[in-house]
Amino acid sequence: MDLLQGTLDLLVLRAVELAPMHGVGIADRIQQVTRGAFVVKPGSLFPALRRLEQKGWLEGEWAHSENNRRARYYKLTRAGRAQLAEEKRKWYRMTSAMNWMLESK
Amino acid sequence: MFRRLTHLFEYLFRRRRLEDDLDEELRSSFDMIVDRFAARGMSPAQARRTARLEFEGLEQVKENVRDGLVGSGLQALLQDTGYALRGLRRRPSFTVIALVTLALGIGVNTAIFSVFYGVLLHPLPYDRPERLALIWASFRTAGNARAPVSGAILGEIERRNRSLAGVAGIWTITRTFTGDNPEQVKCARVTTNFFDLLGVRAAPAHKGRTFAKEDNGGPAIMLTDGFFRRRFGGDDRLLGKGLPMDWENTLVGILPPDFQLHFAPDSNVPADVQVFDTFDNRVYEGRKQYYIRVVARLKPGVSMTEAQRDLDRVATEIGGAYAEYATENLQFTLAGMQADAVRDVRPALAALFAGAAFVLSICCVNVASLLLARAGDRRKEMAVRLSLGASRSRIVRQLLAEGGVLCLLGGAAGIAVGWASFRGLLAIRPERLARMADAGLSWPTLAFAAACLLAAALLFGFVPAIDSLRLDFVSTLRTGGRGWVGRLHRRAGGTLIIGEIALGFVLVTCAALTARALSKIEQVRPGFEPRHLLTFQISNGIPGGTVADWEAQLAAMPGVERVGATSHLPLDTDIPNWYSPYQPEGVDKNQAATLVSDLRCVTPGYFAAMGARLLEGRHFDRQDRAGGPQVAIVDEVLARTTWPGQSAIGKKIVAEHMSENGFEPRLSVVVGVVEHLHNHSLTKQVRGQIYMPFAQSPRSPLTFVVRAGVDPLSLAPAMRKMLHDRSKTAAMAKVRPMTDYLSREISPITFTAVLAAVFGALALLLAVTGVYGVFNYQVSQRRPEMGIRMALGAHTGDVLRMILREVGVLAAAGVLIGAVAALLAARWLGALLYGVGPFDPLSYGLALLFLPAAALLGGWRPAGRAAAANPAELIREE
Repeated sequence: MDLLQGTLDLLVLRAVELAPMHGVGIADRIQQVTRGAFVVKPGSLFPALRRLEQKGWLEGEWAHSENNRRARYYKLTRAGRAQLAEEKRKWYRMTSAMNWMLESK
Repeated sequence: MFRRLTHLFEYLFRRRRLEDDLDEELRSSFDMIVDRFAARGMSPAQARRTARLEFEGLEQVKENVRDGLVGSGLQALLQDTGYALRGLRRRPSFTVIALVTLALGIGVNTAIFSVFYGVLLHPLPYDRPERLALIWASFRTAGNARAPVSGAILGEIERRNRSLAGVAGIWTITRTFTGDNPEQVKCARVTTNFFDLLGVRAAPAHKGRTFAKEDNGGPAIMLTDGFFRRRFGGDDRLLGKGLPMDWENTLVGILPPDFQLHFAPDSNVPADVQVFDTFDNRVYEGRKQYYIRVVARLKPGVSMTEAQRDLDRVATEIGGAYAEYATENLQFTLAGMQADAVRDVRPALAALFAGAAFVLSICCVNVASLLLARAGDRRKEMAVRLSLGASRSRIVRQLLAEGGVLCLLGGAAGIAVGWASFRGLLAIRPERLARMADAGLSWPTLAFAAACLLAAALLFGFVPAIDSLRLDFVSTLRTGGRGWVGRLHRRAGGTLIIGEIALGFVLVTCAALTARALSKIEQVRPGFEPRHLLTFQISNGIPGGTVADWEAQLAAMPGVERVGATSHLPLDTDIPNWYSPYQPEGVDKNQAATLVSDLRCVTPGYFAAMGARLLEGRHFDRQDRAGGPQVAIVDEVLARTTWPGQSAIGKKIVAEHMSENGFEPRLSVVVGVVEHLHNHSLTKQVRGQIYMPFAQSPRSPLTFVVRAGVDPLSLAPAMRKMLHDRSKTAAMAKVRPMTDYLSREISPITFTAVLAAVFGALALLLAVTGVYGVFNYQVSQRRPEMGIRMALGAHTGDVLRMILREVGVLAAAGVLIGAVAALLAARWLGALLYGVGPFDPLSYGLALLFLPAAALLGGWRPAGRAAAANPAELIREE
C-alpha cells in the first residue's frame, strides 16, 4: 500500500514514541505493526529522519545495537512529543471526517 | 525561525560532520540488513546483493537526504556554481567565445537602448509632459503643413478652444549684451504663461520668479542658469535690476539648471536659447505675420484625438470669421510635444534598435549552439553521473547553473561593453540626439539589459537541460554518447547557420546601403562651395559705418578673397525662415496664393563669396540702392516653375520687402538667376527663392560670409578686434566655418552609418564563429563516419570538399533568405537612403561576397580537421 502524502512523519514519530530506535528498527517496526501494509524504503526513511531531526522533533545519538553494531538511535524530543499529539489529532479528525462521508446514507 | 537559521548554519559550515555522520549511519544500516539476510541463510555475497537492491543505491539515498534539508538549496547552488566555474575554466576557448559573444550582444543592445530610451522614451523634463502638445498651422493652399501662426491666430485659438488648459507662444530673435565684452545671444520671446504651462518654476537657489500676467510685453527677462553663471557669476543682487543690454530690461528670475527647450529643428526654436522675454501677442495684429510656435496643454481627461477635433472646429470658425484665412484653407495639426521634437530621428533610431536586436538574437543563437554542442560532448559524463545516483533534477539544476553563470559573467562584461560604447556614441552623437546624454545608462536601460540577460539565461540553460531530461543513459553509454543529439544538432545546427547567414546578410546590406547613402550625401552640391568659408552674425547694423564699408574692411584683410552677407544663412535653423507668397506680374491674386518662396536679402558680394553660380543675368551691385528701381534675383527652381520655358530676366514679381513700415509687398524686376541654394536640407529642394538687395530691404541680424585662402577660423580674432575698435558694445555671434553647418546636417546620417557598419562587422564575426562552432562539433561527432569513408578510399580532398560543400549549401540557403529579408528591410530604411535605391546592386553584391566568405572561413578549420584524421585511428576509437 502506498503511503498517504504526509503520513510518513506520523508513522516515524509514533514508532519512536515508546523507546529510542535506529533507522532499520524504525522501518521494521512500521512494517510489523502495520502488518506489512507499509514498507518504508531507506530512500525515503533516512531523508525523513534527518528532516525530522532538523525540525527538532527527533534527536539522534550514537549507541551500540543489540548485535553490537554502532547505530544511530533516534529519540522523541519534547517538541516531537507535542508534534506527535498534534499530528494524531489531525489524523483522527481526518479519518472520522472520511468515515462520516463514506458511511453516509 | 531561529532554529532554522542554526540548522542552515550547521548545514553550511559543519557539513563535513553531517556528511560523515550520514555516511556512517547508512553504512551501519546497510550492514544490519546484510546481517539479517545472512541470518536467513543467504550466502554473504547473496545477502549483500539483496541488501543493495533494497537500498536502491547509497549515493541516491544520500542525495535524497541532502535535498530534504534546510539550506540544501543554497548549498547546492553554491556547489553548482563552483562546478560551473570550474567547467568553464577547463574549456577556455569555449568560455572566451561564449563570453565575448554575449558581452558584444548585450553591450551593443544596452548602448543602443540607452540612446533609444534617452531620445525617444525618456519623458521631457516638464510637468506631466504627456499632456503637452504643439499646434502647427497648416496652409493647405500654400502646401505648408508645419507653419507657425500669427499673433492673431494664437489669440483666436486661445479664445475659441474648449479642450485646452492653456496655450502659449514662443519665437526667437537675437539680442546683444553690451558692456566690456559684448555678446550676441539667442532670445526667446514667450507669452507670459509659457513657463507655467510647461510647469517650470524659477530656480529656487535664486530668489527670482517666472513671468506673471503683468509682464506682458514689458521689460521682464529671465536667464538660463548656465548663462547667468558664466556672464554674471550667478550674482543674485542683479535680480530686479536692469542688465547692460541693447533692450530695456529687468531681470526677474533664473531658470533651473536642468531647464532645456525641446523643439523640432524646423520650429526655429533652438535648444541653446539663453534669454527669455515676453511679447504681447495683441500688439502684433498683422494677421499675415506667421512666426509664433504654439505649445498647448490638454485639459485633464481630454485625448489627443478629441483635442484635434476641437481644433478642426476652431479652424473652421476662424475661416468663417476672416476671409483671408478661409482662402488659405487654414487648418491646425496637434502633435504630442515629445513625439514632435523627435519625429525626424525616430525612423533612424528605430532602425538602429532593430539592428541591435538582430545582433543580440544572433549572439543568443551562437551561444545556444555552443552550449548545445558542449552538452552533446558531455552526454557521456551526464549518463555516468545519472547511473552513479545523481537525480535528474540535480543535473538539470546544474545545467541551468552553468547557463546562469555564463549569463552573469557575460552580462557583467556586456554592461561594461555597453557603458564604453555608450561613451563612444556620446562622442559622435549628432546635435539632434543631445537628449541621449540626459538619461544615460539609467534604470530602465539596466532593466532592459537584465531582461535580455534573463531571456538569454533561460534559453541557454533550458536548451541543454531539456535535452538532458530526455537522456536515456543506457543507450547513451552504449553508443558512446553520440545518439540522437548528434542527429538533432545536425539539423538544428543547419538551421542556426542559415539563420545567422540570413541575418548577417541583412545587416551587411543595410550597412552598405547606409554607407553609400552617406557618401552620396557628402557629394551633394548644396548650391554653394562650403569649404574655406567663415560665417558670423552681427545684429543691429554695423557701428560707426555702413555694411558696405565693413565688407570693404574685411575684404582688405590678408587671406580674405571675397565677402558678402545675407539675412538668412543656408542650413542655419536658428533664425525663423523668411518666406511668403509672391505674385508674378500677369497672374491673378487667387492663383498666386499658392506661390510661396523663401525670401532673403543679400549684399552684392554674397553669391560670389558663397561660390553660388550665377546662371543668367547679373549680380546685385552698388547701383541697386534704396529708392532706386527695385530689383530681385531668383533661383533656378523658382524661375523654372514660374516661367517654364522662358527666361526669367526682365520679368516682374510682387514680393514681400522689409521697409521702415515693416513688411510690405513691392514690385521688383528680376535681374539674375542663381543656382538653388539648399537653405533647409541637403537632400531636398524645399521651395524657390527670391533675393533682394540688402540696401532695398534691410534686415537684422546679418550673417557675413568670408571666403578665405587660409584656414577660415584663423581670421576670427582679427575680425573681432576690427569690430571692437568700431564699437565697444557690438558683438559678433556664431563665428563658425560653413562646413560646421553641413556636418551638423549630415551628422545623423554619419551616426547611423557608423553604427550600421559596426553592426555589419559584428554580424560577420558572429557568422564566422557560428559556423565554426556548429561544424567543429559536427565534425567531432562524425569522426567515425569520416574514418569509414577514408578507409573505403575517399581522399583527404574528398572529405574536405564534402564538409565545405555542406557549409556552402547552408550558406546559399542563408543568402537566399537574407536577400529577401534585406529587400524588405531596405524598403523600410527608405527614408534614410538618400540617392541610393533599395535595390542598389553594389550593397547586395558586397553582402553576397562577404557572407559566403565568412561561412567558408568558419568552416575551413573543422573541414581541415576532418580531412587530417587518420582512418585507422578513427575506426579503432569505436
